[in-house]
Amino acid sequence: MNIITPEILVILILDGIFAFLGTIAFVLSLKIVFKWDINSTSMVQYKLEKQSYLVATIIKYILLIKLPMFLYFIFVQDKLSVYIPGAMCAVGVVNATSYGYYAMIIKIINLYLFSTWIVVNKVDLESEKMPYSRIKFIFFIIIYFFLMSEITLQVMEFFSLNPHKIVSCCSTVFSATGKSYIATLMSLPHYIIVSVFYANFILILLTYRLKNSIYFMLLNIVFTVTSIISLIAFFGTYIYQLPTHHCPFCMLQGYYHYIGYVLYTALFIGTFSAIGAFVYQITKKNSVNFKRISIIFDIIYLLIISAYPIIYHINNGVWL
Amino acid sequence: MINVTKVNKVFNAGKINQTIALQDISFNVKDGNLTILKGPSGSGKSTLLAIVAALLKPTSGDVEVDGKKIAKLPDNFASLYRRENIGFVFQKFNLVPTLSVFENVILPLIPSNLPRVEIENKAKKSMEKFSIYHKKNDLAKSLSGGEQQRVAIARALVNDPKIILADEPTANLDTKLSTNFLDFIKELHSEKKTILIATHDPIFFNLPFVSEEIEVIKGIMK
Amino acid sequence: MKQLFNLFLFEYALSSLKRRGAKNIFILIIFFILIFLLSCVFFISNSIKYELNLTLKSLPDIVMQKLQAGRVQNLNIDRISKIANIPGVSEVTPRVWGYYYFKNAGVNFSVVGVSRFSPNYKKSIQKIVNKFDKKIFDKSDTMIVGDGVKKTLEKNYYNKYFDFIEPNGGFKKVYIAGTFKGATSLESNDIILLSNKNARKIFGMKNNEATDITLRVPNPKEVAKIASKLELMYPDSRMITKNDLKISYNNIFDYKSGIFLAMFIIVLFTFFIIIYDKASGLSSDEKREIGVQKAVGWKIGDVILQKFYEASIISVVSFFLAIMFAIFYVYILDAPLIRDIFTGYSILKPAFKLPFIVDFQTIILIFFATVPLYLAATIIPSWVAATLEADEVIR
Repeated sequence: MNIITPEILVILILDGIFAFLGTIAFVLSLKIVFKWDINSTSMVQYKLEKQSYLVATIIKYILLIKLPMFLYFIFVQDKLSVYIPGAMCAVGVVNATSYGYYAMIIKIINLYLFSTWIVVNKVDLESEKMPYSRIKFIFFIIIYFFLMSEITLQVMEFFSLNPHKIVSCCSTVFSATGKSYIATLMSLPHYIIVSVFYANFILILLTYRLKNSIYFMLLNIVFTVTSIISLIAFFGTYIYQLPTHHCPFCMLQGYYHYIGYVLYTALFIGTFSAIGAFVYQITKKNSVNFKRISIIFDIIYLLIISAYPIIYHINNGVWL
Repeated sequence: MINVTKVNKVFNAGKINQTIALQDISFNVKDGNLTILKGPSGSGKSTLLAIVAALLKPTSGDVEVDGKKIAKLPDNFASLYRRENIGFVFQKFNLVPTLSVFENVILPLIPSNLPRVEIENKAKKSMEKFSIYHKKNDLAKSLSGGEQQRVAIARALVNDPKIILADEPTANLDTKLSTNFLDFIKELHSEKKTILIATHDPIFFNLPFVSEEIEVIKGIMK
Repeated sequence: MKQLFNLFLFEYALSSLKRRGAKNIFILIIFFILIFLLSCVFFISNSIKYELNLTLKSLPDIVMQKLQAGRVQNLNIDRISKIANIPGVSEVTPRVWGYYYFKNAGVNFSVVGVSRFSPNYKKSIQKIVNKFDKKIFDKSDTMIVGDGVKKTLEKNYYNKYFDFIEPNGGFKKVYIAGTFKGATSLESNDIILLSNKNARKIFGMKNNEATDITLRVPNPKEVAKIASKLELMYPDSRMITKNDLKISYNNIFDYKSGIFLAMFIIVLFTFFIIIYDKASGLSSDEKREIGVQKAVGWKIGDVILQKFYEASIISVVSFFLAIMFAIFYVYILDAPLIRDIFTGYSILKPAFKLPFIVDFQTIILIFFATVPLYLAATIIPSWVAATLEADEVIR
């Protein structure tokens, strides 16, 4: 039996709209890529220039809806855990099907891709020659395939959810005794994980002043990874106040004041702005704003996450 | 300085209803000069104005304004160019009838995203200059012809543009309003604005302060 | 200096909506009605779900059924003492119940055996039992029936007693000792209460047999563990936990609102065709306005942004109005008419107030089901409007 809740239906419908509009944008992008000639004054070029605005509008729309939808998606996964035996939070649901995990990862990648496209578009429109037009539409053609695979995985995930199959909950998936590669990472001593996390942040601070923002971007991407690993392995246990609770999703629940949404949003803005800074740098434009936003949100994340163990230590006098 | 070089404009090129609107038009308007584009209606004057305003792209040829090529500007820059350099006075004024005088005047400033105070100051200055400030909250459709004319000019000048383009500004106006308009033009001319007027109204012909009269008939310069 | 948010553009969008009031109010009202209907259905189903979960609470924590070839069989009550010894189990009650087909009237009665000594699994039945002298059930030949059952029997000339036909063909005469009015019409029309002994006789069960066994487990966290322990002890049996029931009930309701949502979406799409049509059919006034805007320096993006603001204002305003009206309609007025969509509802409980359960997730769900769809419908018309040839207005 499949589970069709209204939430799933809504996500599927919106996916349908994304697919429909995305396909329009895809077809127009193909046309633009093959026929674009900024120096031409032909009707064709004139029409293409107009159509490029439709593509941009569609992409902006999809991102605008996708961002809050992503949070909602996690929330729905969380809610579905009620139906899946053994699942206590979204982790169980994601792991309940062979698609869930990939759907989740490609969703996150797509958020970055769409946001980056919008930065490229902005840079392109800021120049009279629109020098990146062809590139940005080729970029979208690639994104389109990511979008469609996301939608396909999503649909397959929902249709293969089985309420009679028992899955592991987060404490099994992320426990150090397990055999998964995540578990291997978790078995590293905490001081190493935590030092890598802070060292990474210090490196970001150091590269902030550098002219070349490629290091800044790369370090930020790594920072997202080290943040999530340290969150699961170390900081999360302080959020839950339970040394055995390793889970990146439970913190999204109301019981923990939805702190997960704040943390992940800060992380996303931090990394995305670093990518934005890099895109600007490629085009030899000033990228101070993006860098500044990136560093501010990195700091916000760092402060919130560090506060948990410190407050715990002050209140209880011990570390977990 | 406006430089128009060998501009051609073909509508619906390659189709059955292909029309050649402009053919090899070349002229220039020096800073502070007033130029009249004359010719019967349908002769391509308005198309030419639209091309100078970067509202239309020529099929071939070049338009340079202050050394900047505007013929192939993408929309973003064409709009910016219009907003910063061009004041447009339309045939029948083209006010938005259901908006107030103030709202009509700030229309060019809305996308500039300037602070409120700045927008209000600019609008006030322009409305006061053309003595329409006392009606600022009235709807455009409730105004008399003369008042509408002043709002149209206040709107065209709210950005303090260097270039004024007017498209048949006196068509459908009575003699009194036409003379009024001429007075405004005289005033703007004395302020060293570059002015280009497309018209077939004889009131503009053979005026002492007009630098040049260009006649366009069926898309061809005479 | 640039502002972060273009308030003037927003105001312009607002005034543009006002200036084309009739058309926009029409769209607003239709959209409002659609969101209102959807919200009502969700609110009602949430309330019923909530009420249902409350009812479920009074049910036994675990029901044990014996299966043979996939069918439920009677089980031996010997196992009770063994089950009662499992730590964490506080009460073990064997139940004798089943359906009796009364051929003359063509109806099924629920025959429920009650015991004077052990408590009953369902609170409503326990209440009825408490009302009567418990000794009634010990006398060999009496029963208590719902008043609806009584009427059915009287129609067939059974005024004082009823002859049950036993599986072996013999008759079992049972006298009516009293009637009760059930909490629901379903109960009144259906239930016959008599002693376990008589019930066994009517169903042809042996004295050491029961239909199923109910367990009470005070600590909800132990339920799953105990259920799996029982499954190991009695591989021939199936354990139904309260949670299982809860999930399947929730499923039914989610399913029902899902079907409604699906139909709703079809209506919504029809609506979008209207929107699309309305938004793309530009009047000459609108065309001229856009032409003027572009001639005085508006970018294509500015016009699209204005149209986006307009669509957002309409959809968000309709959304909030609809949510507020739906809350009022469902929780203050108790949702006349619409609540009949849930046909099971009237049977469930005829007279009760819908409990006030509005949660954010429902509201967010309704938001995602409506507003993004509206915005999507306006994308292409907005773009068409924004890319109109501006030079046409100055000719």
